[in-house]
Amino acid sequence: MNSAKTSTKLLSLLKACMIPVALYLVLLLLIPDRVGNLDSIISMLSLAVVPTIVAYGVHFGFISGIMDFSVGSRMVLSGMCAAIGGHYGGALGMAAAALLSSLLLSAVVGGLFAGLKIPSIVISLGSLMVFETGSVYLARYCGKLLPEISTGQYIKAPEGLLFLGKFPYNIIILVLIAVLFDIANSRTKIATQARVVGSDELIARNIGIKPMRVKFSTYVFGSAFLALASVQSACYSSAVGYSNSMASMAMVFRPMMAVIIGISMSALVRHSVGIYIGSLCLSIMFTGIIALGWPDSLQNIFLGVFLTAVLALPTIQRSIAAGKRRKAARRRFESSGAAN
Amino acid sequence: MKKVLSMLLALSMLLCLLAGCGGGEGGQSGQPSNGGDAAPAERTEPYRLGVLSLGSLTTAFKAATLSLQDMCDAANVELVQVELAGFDDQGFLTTYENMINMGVDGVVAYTFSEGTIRLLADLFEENGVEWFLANRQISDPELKEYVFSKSKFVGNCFCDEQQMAYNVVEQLHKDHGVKNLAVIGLTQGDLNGDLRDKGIAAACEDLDINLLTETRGIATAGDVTNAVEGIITSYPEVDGIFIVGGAITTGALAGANQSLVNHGLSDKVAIGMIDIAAGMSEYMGDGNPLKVVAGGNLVMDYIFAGACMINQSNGVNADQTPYIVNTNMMFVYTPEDAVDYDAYCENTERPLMSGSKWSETLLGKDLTTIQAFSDSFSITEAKALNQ
Repeated sequence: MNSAKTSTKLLSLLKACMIPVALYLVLLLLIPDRVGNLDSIISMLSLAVVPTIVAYGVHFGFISGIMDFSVGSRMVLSGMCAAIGGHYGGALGMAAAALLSSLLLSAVVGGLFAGLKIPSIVISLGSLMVFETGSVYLARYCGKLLPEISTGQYIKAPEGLLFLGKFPYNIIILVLIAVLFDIANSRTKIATQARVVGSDELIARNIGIKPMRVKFSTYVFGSAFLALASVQSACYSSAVGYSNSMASMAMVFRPMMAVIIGISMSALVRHSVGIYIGSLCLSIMFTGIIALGWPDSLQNIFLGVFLTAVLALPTIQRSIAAGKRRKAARRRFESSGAAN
Repeated sequence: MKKVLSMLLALSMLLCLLAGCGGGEGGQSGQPSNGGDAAPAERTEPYRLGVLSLGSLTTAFKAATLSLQDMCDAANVELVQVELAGFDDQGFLTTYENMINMGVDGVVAYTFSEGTIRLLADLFEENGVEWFLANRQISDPELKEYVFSKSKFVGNCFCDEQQMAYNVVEQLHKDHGVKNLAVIGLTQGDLNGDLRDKGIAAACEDLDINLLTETRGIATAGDVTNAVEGIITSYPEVDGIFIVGGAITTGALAGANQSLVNHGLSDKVAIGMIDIAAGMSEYMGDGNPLKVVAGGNLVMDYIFAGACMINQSNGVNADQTPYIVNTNMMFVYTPEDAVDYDAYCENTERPLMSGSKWSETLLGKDLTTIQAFSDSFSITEAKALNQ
């Protein structure tokens, strides 16, 4: 029984992994000399790390029905705080600064949403503009007060911690964060309540769950992962620059797609794995477009088509299964009719 | 009752609309209704020159505005800075409409895309406001003819972006042996970006350089790291990277450098860049990847445009409008050049030169003198003027 369960799980995992493998094989067929090396594979795995961790942070809000575009701006600000904290307190200082700032910013956004009862998308856009302006001023002040780590446009991450953004340390960190996410997603009250609120808010209210409190909690809960993502991103790129003109809004699109893909794969694998698979598919496509030398504009077309295809896959599978059932039922009816 | 209230509300809104749109001609202070041919009346109030406030975007704009303010103070001109309403075409239009409503006499106009220029030409012409187009070259000949036919259009200063991009690629090839180039470009539709792309393509064709790939839409330092990572792993033969808009992405250089360091390629891949970026001196010199940076024309374009408008207000060169002033980018090759550039050309604490120097160099001067100053301007010149 146990071995049957394990083999079913393994089979499901293999089915889920087929998508990024299939994408990679297509690239390998088209441009074997460009992507058929270990460096390329490692690069694709590494490129998926930061969006995956961001996706973990976005996940809780998403399943409870929140659309939050301020994630990128919060990451920028907490990344800057992390860089400053790392300068003074090393790794612990970096993590603590990132967590505190992310928590504070998320609490502000979540509090505004829960208190004012304005749609989350509106709150997120307003917060995004405020936080982006904050990042501009923070970078400028750091440029004057801490010229050794800031130019006034960006803040440098501590050099001694940059290894965290490199392979294989980034993968190790991702695995640890994935385990943390898995525990949080499957064993905490917040995650369970978030799913209930997301599926039907009225039922949730009727069974004693306070939807607004839950949604606020998802902001705060997800902020921990966003803090970790900002630390990882700072170490990966060695600097955190300020953001303006709503450019940080683009930082949430790929993680959001990864969350959607992860949720659509929930029948096959755990969310933590599904989200990474989604992120990996996007990074393979990104690398593939560069390797093929295609115009950048095609990337967005392919991303859109890919997302539509992945989301349509369960519907297509259900339609095929329903068709097979109808066919089988018709055959039984015909054979029983013939027997009579 | 509700119907009555709704009708009253609609009526009052309609009356407000009619009142707002029914402004009389010449209602703007100091604005003749069609002042194209009339001699300028003696001015009782200072000339009001409108400019976009874009200091939050890059230090270049902040430095340009500082120098412009200093020049205006020296010429007894009031500089009216208006915050940009949005980074799209509508945002620019709204901003200039706000300027006109504030009663400016002239405008130094700047825009990202060519699509807005025709609308600006019509806007300024209808409102009788003189204007000068800075830092943008009109590539469409029909549009150029249209804009240059407008009576309120004073002139255009720009740098030949296509040629500058060509020069950067040429230098990467001749001085650093680049044969396989990857491009990290601006979003398509950006006027200067499109011209630079043409220059890159032309240089690659003429110099037989392999243009490997391009990537665009970069928003963060992490995106640049991702892009360079993808380029290095997919194209091991890459020996040159051109960052087309360094100022657009804060931390672009840091992101690119980090990826090269991760792969031990800091001294094997040469980076060329257009637009001066903060902290670039750190990535230049022996063992570092940044070899050529071209930029600084944005500051000078603003300054030249401002000088031309101040001259226009005093009737200087008014018989030669519309005219073109060609500016050049400054090339930075060494960490010392980069430090000097930051100190003298793009200093946000100190204007480019003192008040009296403006009158010696640009104010009240004819076009030949202005163009000669532009042609000779360099980092060394800026250093000398500042001292």
